[in-house]
Amino acid sequence: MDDERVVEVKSEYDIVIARAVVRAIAKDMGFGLVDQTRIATAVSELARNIVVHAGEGIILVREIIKGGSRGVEVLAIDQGPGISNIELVLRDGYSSKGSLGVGLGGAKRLVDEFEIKSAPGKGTTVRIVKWLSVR
Amino acid sequence: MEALDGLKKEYAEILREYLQSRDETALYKVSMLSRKFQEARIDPDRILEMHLEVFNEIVERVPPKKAISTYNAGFEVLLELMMGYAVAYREYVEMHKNLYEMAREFSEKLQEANRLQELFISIISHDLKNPLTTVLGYSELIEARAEDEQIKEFARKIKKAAEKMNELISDARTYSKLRMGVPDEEFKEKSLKEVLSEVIEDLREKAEAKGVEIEKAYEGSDEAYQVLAAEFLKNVFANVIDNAIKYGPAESKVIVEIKDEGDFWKVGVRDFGEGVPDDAKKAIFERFVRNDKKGIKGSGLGLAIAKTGIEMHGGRIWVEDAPGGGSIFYITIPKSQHSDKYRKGAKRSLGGGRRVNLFSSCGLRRALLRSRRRRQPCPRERPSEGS
Repeated sequence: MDDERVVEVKSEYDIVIARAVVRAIAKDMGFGLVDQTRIATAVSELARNIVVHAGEGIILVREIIKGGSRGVEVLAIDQGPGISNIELVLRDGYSSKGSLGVGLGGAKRLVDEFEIKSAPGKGTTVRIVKWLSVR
Repeated sequence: MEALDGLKKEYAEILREYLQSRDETALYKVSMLSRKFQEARIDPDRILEMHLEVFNEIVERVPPKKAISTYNAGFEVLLELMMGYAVAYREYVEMHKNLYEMAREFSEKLQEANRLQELFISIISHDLKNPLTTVLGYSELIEARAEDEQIKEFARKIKKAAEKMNELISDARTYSKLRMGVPDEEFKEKSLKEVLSEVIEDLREKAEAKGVEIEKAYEGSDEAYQVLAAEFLKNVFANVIDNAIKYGPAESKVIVEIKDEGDFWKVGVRDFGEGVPDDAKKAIFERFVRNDKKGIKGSGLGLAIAKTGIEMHGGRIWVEDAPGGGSIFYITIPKSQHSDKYRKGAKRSLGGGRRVNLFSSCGLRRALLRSRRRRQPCPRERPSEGS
């Protein structure tokens, strides 16, 4: 809990920062290269979503422990227009505003947990978790 | 493989950048670039090859001491590329699936609609026609047996209305049937001249009643009039010539001509009526549009039937002003030896009996995705059962 990192996301440059931060934390925790890349790609998309749809927001990255498992948790929070049809956004192939990224549906598939809270006019919060599998 | 060449260049640039700086920016760029590889339908194997080619070029001059770390860094870039590629590919597959589902639902709805249409036709043709026959029969009987002149007149009016209704039902049935398509085997080699003669013979009585003379002006030799025609071709000409009689003035002429026009025979049906106004020249071939004229019977389907029918034969129909007044309806039909060429195309654009195929999931998918690689043959969809 003490090791929480916050990245303000306003531009494409910040997307890169968010990726780098999450990748560094994942690496320190012992995630393999493939999982590091998975998490970085997912965060990329969350951050991109903020830039494209809300203009600005924050990305929070921290390590979490639950029932003996360690994982990395990322929260992407914005005060943008929000999403009225979450189901639609999560459908693969859906991408409003032509985001170049993989879309939220794509991000969902790269991680173990994916939650989204949003309402029109009330912003969007997305929470993702990737667990470190015990070897 | 121009697409690959361009992408390879971009990739090489990013790879070089990362090997020098180990900066996350390069990884982000690669992640964005990966989508383009998927969009260009480049094989994963080909991407691996490309990576090795580019990588080897770059690291040739790397000192052995740094070789391992450089190799790992290169792998990171490749991994980022493949990760993005995989996600994009997955999305692509899902989209296929969604489209397929949509198309299937659509096709099911369409088949249901076709089934309803058939049901409707059968209701029209049987359930409506039978009582109408009774009305017609008894009104004739009343007309014949009644002694009161006024009652006779009433009976005539009933009969007239019933006849009109009968005609309307027949037209609606014919039109709907036509829209369902005519199977290939119903097209047979026929003489256009004979078809026309039969039609004219059938209409002679009607024409004479109005004092209209039907004049034939054919050019070309007899044996040259061969066409591939369904039984239905008669209705096409019958509708047009019948119109000419109806819309032309009494005591006038209708001239039917045949001309040789390359791959086609061109039939002209000329009347001396008031002509068709320019803004109606196209519309009259649509359903239920009629050039209004009082006292003229018709369902407004006649020309729509003719149009659908002739297009099925690979021909066209249109109307022009005749020099000196009246109009000429032109109908082209391919000569029998060229029939296949034009008829098939016409059939496809019409849909015909294979209408569902036009909207088949495969066709739609293809049209929407324009898959550039490995164009797989579309499995033939079965036409709706029991049709």
